[in-house]
Amino acid sequence: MLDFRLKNTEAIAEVIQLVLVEIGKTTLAVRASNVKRLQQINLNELELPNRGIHPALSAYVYSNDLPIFDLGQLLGLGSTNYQAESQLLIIEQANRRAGFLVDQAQEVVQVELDELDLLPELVERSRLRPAAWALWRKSTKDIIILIEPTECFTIEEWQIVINKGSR
Amino acid sequence: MSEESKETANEDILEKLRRRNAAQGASNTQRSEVRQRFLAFRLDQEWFGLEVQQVKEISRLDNVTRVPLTPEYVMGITNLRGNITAVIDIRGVLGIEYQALTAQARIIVAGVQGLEAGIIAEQVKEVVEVVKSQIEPPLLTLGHERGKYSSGVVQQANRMLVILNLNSILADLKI
Repeated sequence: MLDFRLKNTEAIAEVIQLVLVEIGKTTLAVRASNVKRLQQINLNELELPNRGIHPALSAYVYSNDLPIFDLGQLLGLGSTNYQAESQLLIIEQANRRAGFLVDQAQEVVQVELDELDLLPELVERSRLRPAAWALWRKSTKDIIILIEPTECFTIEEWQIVINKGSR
Repeated sequence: MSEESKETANEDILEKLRRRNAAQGASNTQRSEVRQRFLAFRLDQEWFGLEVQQVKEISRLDNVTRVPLTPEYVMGITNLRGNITAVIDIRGVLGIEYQALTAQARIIVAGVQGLEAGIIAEQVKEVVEVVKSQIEPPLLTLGHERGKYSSGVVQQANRMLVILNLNSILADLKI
C-alpha cells in the first residue's frame, strides 16, 4: 500500500495548500493542512461496499479504527467508482480520524488567498450542510469548490466517527 | 375694469396655468408608467417575463460548477467576466417539469434589492413592451407555486406571459 505523508508547508497568511481530488467528473479542493495522510488504497483489502452499516460508510480499516466514507456519496455526487487506483484521504479533527474515498487525488497546489472567494450569498444561505465553504478561481472560467469533508457529516455519521475514529 | 378685478383675473389665469402644468406633469408620469418592458423566456411550454430593469445580462450556459450539498434548485456557480454568480433553476420552484437543457438555454442574470442570481431559461425570446393596464392579476389557474411567485399575467395573441416576482423568488430561495 502506497503511503505518504504530505509536507505541511502552508504559509500562515497569504497562501494555502489545496489537495485537488476528483470524484466522477467533479474536481474539488480540500485544505492540505486538514489532510493527515493521502494514500492509494487497494480496495481488494476492503470489503466494499459495506452498505449494511451505513449507506455512506464503505468499510473500516486498521483493525476497525478508521471509518471510511464514500466522499462522493456524502456530497451527493454519486458513489466513488472504486477503481484500483482509488485514493483515501485521511482527515483528523479533534483527535478523531476518518477516511474519505475519492476517485483520484490529482495534485497539491499552492493558492494565494487573493484567488479565493466567498460563495455567492444565495448559495451560501441555501447549503444543506456547510461542506462547501469557499471557491478558488483557478482560471478565468474554471472554479474549484473548497470543501471541508467533516462538514458533510450528519449527526449519525459523526457518531460513527466518534465511536470508531478515536486515535 | 378696476385694478382689483384685473388682478383677480390674472390670478385666475395663473391658477389655470398651474392646474394645466400639474395635469401635464401627472399625465407625463402616467405616460412613463403605462408601458413596461419584460424579457420573455420559456420554461417547458410556458412563457415568463422578468422586468427588463432587473436583468443585468444574458449568457450562454457553460462552465457551471456544481456546489455539493445544495438544494436541487442550485445548479451551481459560474464566473461571468470575473463576477461569481449563483445559477439557479427555478423550474422546480414553479412546479414545472424538467426538460433536458439544449443549446438554446441561457442564464439570465437578474437582481433585485442587492440579491443577484443567474436564472436558467430554456429559451430567451425577446423583450416585450406592454401597456400596464394589460397586466392582469395572477390567475387562480396558475397553480399555487406560479401564483405565489407571479405579479401578473399578460394575455398576448399567441401566448400567456406570466410576470415573475423576482423579489419574492429570491427572498424565498435564500432562506
